[in-house]
Amino acid sequence: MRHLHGPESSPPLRGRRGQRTLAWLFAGALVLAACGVDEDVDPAVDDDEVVDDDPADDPDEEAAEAVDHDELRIRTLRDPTSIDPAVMPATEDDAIAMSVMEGLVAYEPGGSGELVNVLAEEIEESEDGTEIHFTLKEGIQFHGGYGELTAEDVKFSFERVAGLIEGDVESSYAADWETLEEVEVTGEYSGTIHLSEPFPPLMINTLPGNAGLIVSQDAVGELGEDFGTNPIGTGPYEFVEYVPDERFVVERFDDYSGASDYVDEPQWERIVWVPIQDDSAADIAIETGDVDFGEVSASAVDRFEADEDFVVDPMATFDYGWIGMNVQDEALQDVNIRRAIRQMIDVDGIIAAGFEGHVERANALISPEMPIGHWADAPEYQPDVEQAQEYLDQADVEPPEQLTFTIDDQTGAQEAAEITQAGLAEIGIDVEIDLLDTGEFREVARDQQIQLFFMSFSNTADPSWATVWFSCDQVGDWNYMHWCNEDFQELHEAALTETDPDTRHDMYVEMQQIMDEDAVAQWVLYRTNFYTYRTDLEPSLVPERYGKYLAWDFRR
Amino acid sequence: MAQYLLKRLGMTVAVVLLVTLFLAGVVHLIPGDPVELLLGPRATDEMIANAREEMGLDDPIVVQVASFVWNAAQGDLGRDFATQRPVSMLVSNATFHTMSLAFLSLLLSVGLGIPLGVLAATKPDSLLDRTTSVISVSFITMPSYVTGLFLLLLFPIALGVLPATGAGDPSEPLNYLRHLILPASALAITWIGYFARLVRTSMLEVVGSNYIRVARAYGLRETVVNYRYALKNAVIPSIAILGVALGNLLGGSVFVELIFARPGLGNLALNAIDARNFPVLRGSILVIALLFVVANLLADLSYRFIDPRIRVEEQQT
Repeated sequence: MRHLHGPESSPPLRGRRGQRTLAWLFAGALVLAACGVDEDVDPAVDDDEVVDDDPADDPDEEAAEAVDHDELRIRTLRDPTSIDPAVMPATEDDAIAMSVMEGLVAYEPGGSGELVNVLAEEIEESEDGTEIHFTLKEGIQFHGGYGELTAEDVKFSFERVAGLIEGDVESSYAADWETLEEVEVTGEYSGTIHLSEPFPPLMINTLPGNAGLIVSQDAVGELGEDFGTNPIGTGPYEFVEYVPDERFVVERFDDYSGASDYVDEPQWERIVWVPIQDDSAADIAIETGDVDFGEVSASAVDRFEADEDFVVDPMATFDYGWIGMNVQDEALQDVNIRRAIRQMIDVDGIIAAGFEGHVERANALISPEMPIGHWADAPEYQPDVEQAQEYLDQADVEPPEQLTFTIDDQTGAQEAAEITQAGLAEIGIDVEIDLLDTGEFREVARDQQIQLFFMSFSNTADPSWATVWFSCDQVGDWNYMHWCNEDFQELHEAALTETDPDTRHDMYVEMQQIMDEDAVAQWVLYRTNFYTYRTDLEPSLVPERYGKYLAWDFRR
Repeated sequence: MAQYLLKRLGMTVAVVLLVTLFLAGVVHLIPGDPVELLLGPRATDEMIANAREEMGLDDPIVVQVASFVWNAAQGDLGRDFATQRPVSMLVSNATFHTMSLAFLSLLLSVGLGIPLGVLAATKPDSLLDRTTSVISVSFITMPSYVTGLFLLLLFPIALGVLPATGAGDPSEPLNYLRHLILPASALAITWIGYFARLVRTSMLEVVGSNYIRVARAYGLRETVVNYRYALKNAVIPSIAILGVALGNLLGGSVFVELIFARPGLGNLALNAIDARNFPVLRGSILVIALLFVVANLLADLSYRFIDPRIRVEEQQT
């Protein structure tokens, strides 16, 4: 047990009541601190030491060790407001869903891209790609006494996310089931997914993702809107408690079927997600052991890497960040003006200043981690005043004297704007930086009151979820460049139903070449998540999912 | 007294009503659509339109604000856009955490600031006085977010004592109190310095009074003179600013809650602004305004209660 100095070892008092009051207040605080040290695991104690010592020598140490293994605490960036697979507003909420719910199939942890059966005993795609037959494992129970999983639940879950069930939830992920006609139930444990057209993202993104998670039809009917904060699935952990802004707690499900047998049995009694919005607070929470696992800011990476008690696990994601140009703005309508601007943006400088050099440079939209669609030979633009001047000379209009660079408060945005400002000053363009909050940024970007901007989007394992935001349909919505290219649009639509992976790959590369030709953006980075934890923890990462990690497969 | 109380209560209600009306209206001036932020990029126009209608966002702002005030008067603060939970539940949870933080900070401010001020006043211009003055002024100039970061670096990180983040479990008072110590200290430090300076100045005025000289002439001990007789009068100006202090501590809790990742009204309002979650934002604002006004009312009343001269003056007029 750690002993702290109590009032008896304070400096001698000389009978003054004021001094005594002060001393007692300080002493009280110290005693409180001392009393509580053994309640939580002491982060300052090396875990190896705890294991080496005989816990029987000290019951408090034994208790601390037990708590350590019973509970896994994870930082989330924001309060998880809904774990409903059809609603899920934040992509990281998927990490919680991955512990509570299961799908027919799942990605194996480790980023291999291999699919494994979970709730499906068998799953088979027809040759033309329009039918998927599945047979469920039998005897799988839902949490909360909602009974056994049947094919009816599968039909309900998929059709619900696809938006085919009238009067139910407004599904945000209907596009993940773009060509679903219906799910036919052929037996208590079997059924067929019918598609109007082949849909390649189905086996890459939909079935192994959040849109493929199976929920209890009875639970959704009974809980209604509360289902999002009281999710019922078949996963190894069941929902216990949600306290807004404080914690989301799941506990091991006693009747778990073991359907996810592609990994070992879960180790933890409870998993708690703790929302910590501020990066500095999160860094400290990880350092002090208040949470066991979470993302740290790029600025804290070096510090944690230098500390031998911690591991920083950089996970390259499919998420991307870029500097965009609103092509409908009068000052940016000429392609040569845009090329000149792109030429003067120092991407390496932005990565060094805004991300401490800890992210991968992007030269095109689709990341090299993506199974298909990465344009490996994309040009890498470096600041070049002469080349930029040449583009300006070729322009049909006079270059703008002033532009506005609009940013929100996301990491690296300020640095991106300032470095661009410095670069464009060299070719005589004055840049004014306009900092807005996320909601306001969205509004001005959508309404075309924007010229240059920095933005990053998240993405899953299929390239269609990257190109969709730059399609003509998204102009005036999420296509902040307000750029509409018919060739790009045609390719995007055709690639959605193209079943040959090589042909699809070529189509996505061509789309990126079109974007490059039109100089609508300067790609900056592929986002990296810096997951940080103590050396005795072994996490389980699934980069293909929005959630990125399988919490219940963590080991200590 | 009853008439005064009635007048003050009436003014309190009017102020709360005006502040609520004003702030509930102002939140609508912030650009950004709550529905789009809530539903995310995959929402269709139809979904957005349906959600807007369900949330009552299609109604004119005046109607929305009036409806909020009317419902709030009946105890209904509406439902959270994101989770559909009652705002009153969210706000009451958050209020508990914020009030605990503000009250402990106030306790620390008074409990440490006043003795520090008395200590300085007992020997004016001595080394002790100069030292306490330096400490007090240093405390006044330290913003709570800077102090918070220092405390985090010192206690949980360097010394490995006291939790760094979260609020702890209210059902375990010791655990909850341990989570409160650092944020409350960070918040209190400015006011410790402020109270110390204020009490020192008041004490120096009071110790020169005839009744104190008489007390000394009777041979009473210095501690009795200082704490029983001098402090009683010297502390009155400090009580008058207790209400302001509590309001200020409530405001300052926004930063502290963010740094220590504590749930509370500040964090709730901040997240609600980010998400344009109007019902939660309005509910938080209402409670903050209410707390501020009530704190000032209590300070005013206690001032009259403690200082009999006010009551005597009132009776004479």
